[in-house]
Amino acid sequence: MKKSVLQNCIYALCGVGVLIAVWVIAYYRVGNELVVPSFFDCVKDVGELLVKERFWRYFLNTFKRVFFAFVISFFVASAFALLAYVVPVVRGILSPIISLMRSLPILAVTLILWLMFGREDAPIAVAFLSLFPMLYAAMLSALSGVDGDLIEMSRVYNVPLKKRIFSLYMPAAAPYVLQESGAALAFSLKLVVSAEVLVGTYRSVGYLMNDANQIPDMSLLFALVCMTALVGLILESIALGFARAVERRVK
Amino acid sequence: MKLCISKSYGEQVVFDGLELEIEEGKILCVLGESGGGKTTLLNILAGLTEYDGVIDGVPERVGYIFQEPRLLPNLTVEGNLRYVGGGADEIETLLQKTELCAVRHKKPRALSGGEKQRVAIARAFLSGAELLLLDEPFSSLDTARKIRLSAVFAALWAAEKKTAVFVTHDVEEACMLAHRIVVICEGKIALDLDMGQGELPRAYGENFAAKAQILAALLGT
Repeated sequence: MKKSVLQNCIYALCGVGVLIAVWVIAYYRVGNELVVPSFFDCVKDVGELLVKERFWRYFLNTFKRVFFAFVISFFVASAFALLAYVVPVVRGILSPIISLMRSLPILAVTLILWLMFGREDAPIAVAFLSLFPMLYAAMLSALSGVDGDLIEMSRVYNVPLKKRIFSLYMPAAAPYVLQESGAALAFSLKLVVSAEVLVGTYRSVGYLMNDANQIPDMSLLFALVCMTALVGLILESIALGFARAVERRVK
Repeated sequence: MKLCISKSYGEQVVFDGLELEIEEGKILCVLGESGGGKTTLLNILAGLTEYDGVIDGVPERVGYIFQEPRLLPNLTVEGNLRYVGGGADEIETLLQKTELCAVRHKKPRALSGGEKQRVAIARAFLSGAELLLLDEPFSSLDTARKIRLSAVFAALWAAEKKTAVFVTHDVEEACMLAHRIVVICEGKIALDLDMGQGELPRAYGENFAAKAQILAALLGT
């Protein structure tokens, strides 16, 4: 293992250690299980969740929404970014719309979307509203960053559009887009779970969280939050690793 | 090919009715000071820059050797040649002629400056171009590499005798590779010099009389 990789692992472990230490100290200082649950109870609850069939079924439902929201956002953002790149007028028209979407108070909008799309699909719509502007901006910026000299060279030599897309644009834009997509996928998980909690989507991670909140079982709630954060981290890491591999191959 | 063009960027006039005839199957070298519109002239011929005026006999396909090689970093030498077209046999022949066979599977970052520019030269000949445009392609190379690459270019050119417009600010380079040298000063032709038909490239450091004329035109004396 390289020294820098080992060093990064040590730093990451130290970070986790600090977090656990703060949790344990907070637990003893507060002395109320309903406010700060025991770290060890929480670990036990995570273990119990992992072997429950119900949890995995609900988790799969949530993950389907996350994935669906991401895929829709990715393809719609790709289409619009490409259009905006080719036709500057479209870019100008989309600019205020994107700014507006970015500044939407997402929790308040969730309630509107709940009425419009229902409990099952509202989390997807919520995630789309945040992911679309994020991915659109990333893709447009990646396309705008393609070397102008190479574009000019391709024009002079009349390189067919298909070849330009696959040999010039995609390799140049892919590392950045993949990196942003990883972050978007993790963000999609956060948004979907938040919306599920707010609208009370049945058979979902958000539903389990609501359940734990009403009992109330603080350690189960913490366990669910930790699991969600962990899955988000894993998704982002996989995408980042993939993006780095593509970047190495391209450059 | 005949052209009569005007071009300005805002208030700055680059060419004001510049008239120039480009002979078919010859290498025309355009010399001039930096910022004198040499690259603009090539970009006009390549269809990259708009202009006022007329160009008779604009070719459909041009091969452009830029100042910097402009190779796709994700493609190998062979991939970069395939990118602009051409069959496998044609690519093979050009790789041999430009002595790039040993590095055909390497990506641009693994090549030297001279090798990269050789790929760019091969690419221009591969594109089926009727007109070759060269924008100071050897300016970043040392003298030895410059002479070697001039020889590579001249050998490739001799096989097909394509019309070429070669832009440079290096008098020596111009004398080595041109059939005709045109000096442009302040958007107008200050000198139009026939260099004769001899075999290219001419020997480095010769043609003193021509160089003296060119320098006089460049200095306006």
